[in-house]
Amino acid sequence: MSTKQKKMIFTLAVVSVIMGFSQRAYGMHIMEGYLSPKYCIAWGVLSIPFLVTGYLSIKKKLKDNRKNITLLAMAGAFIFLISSLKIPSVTGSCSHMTGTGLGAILFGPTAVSILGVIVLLFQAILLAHGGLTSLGANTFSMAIAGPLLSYGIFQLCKKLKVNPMVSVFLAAFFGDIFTYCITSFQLAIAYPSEEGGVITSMGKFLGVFAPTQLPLAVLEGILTVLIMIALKTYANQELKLVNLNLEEN
Amino acid sequence: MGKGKAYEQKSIDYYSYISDLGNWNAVYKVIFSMGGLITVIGADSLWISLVTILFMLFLSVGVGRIPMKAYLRLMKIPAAFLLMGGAAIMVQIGRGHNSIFYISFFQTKLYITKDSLLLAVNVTLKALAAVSAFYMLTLSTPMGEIISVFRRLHVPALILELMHLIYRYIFILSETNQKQKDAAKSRLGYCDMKTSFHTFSSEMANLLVLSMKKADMYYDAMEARGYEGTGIFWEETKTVTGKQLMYGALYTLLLMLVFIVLRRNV
Repeated sequence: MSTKQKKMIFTLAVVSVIMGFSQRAYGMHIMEGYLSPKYCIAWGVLSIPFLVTGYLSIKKKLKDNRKNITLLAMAGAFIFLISSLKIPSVTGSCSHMTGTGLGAILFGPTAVSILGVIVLLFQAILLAHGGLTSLGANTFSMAIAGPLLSYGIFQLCKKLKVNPMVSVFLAAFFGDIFTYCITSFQLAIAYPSEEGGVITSMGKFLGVFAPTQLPLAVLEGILTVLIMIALKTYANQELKLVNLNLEEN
Repeated sequence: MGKGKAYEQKSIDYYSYISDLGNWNAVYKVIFSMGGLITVIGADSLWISLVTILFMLFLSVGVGRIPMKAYLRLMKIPAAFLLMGGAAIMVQIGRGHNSIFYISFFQTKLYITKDSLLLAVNVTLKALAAVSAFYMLTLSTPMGEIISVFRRLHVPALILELMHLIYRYIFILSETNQKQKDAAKSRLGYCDMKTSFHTFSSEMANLLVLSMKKADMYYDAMEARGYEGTGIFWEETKTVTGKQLMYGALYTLLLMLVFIVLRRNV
């Protein structure tokens, strides 16, 4: 019985240490050096088609109007800032939004892929979140998969005539969750379990990051809705500038 | 905010301008840092990781004169990811035949084997080594120089220009946000949870509007200074000196030594 208790206390201690350290909960950037070269390259290659599409769309946008360059750069800086700012959170620890959902809704998924890759690179260089070797994997999960899903959900809701604010919440929430699932999957195939392989391993990574990522996703959804309400109230003109009009739906 | 706090707030960007490694040739530093990164993840060896951690610490703190305290604080940034990721790699689920430690968990067992423990330690050290190799570059090279290396790699001019502008705008927006925050705080905008949510989102919405307005203004400003579709940025020429090469050679030598010793032991 005493050994059982000891183990119990040990486990609780480990959990509390992890919880203590996870006070700064960022979006899940896979850190530098965490993936083997094989996966670094594979995820990078997988991202290329999306990045090329993004590049071409941005190029076209600039051809239409040269002035879009400062607009795009501001959008990039805005995404960087929103993902590095502390948000008020329930537990008193500080968390950060990922900004994927908001970015995709405001600027569209193609532009976000290129802006996202630059933002991720800057986060690695300036904030040491993520890294250069894991840039491909992070780009795929945060600048491509998440925004694409967010955008898809937002458009689908528009077609189904769902309340615009509900659709904003769903887009941001699921964009976040999807990013977190993809990242867990990326970690799981890099480090499969001894028993049960990739699937068990994915369960482990999902479980370990769940306490920080699930509340974060809800929070991200709520904040994105509040931001969109504020924008709709005060800045309909500017929203039209970035090709979004919430009045339509 | 106390004086001690202000010191702690210094960013990687700040150190990149004051580091003594700042006068090293940027391309050389990129090659050096990337070489270290690739060696660490390619070799996948505990000793290579340890040597890299120590050598990069020596370069950044010893030669580059980044304060030790600051360096250690920066190394702690990925701590959360390392702990949680390490836990997920270390702890196994299932029957657990050759475990060195286990606890029952509902119908199954959570256990740690010698292999999984070693793997977790190895991955953690590898990640720290990779981070320190990358820090050697980022703590000594201002963004402008890093972008100029990208230019040499033939990254499209449009992307480079976006990078330059985004880098500048990040600081403009973050300064604006700091002012917003001070204003909101002085009006009790963060007094409780509900108000904080409301304030934060208004801040963000307002920031977006401001940034879009500024973007328009900045384009006019650029055009007034002769911008015709390509941003041209001044680059300082920094030559590779013998001393710089010596550090590279020293690192390579150390790595080779480790490889030879490891091979002999196998």
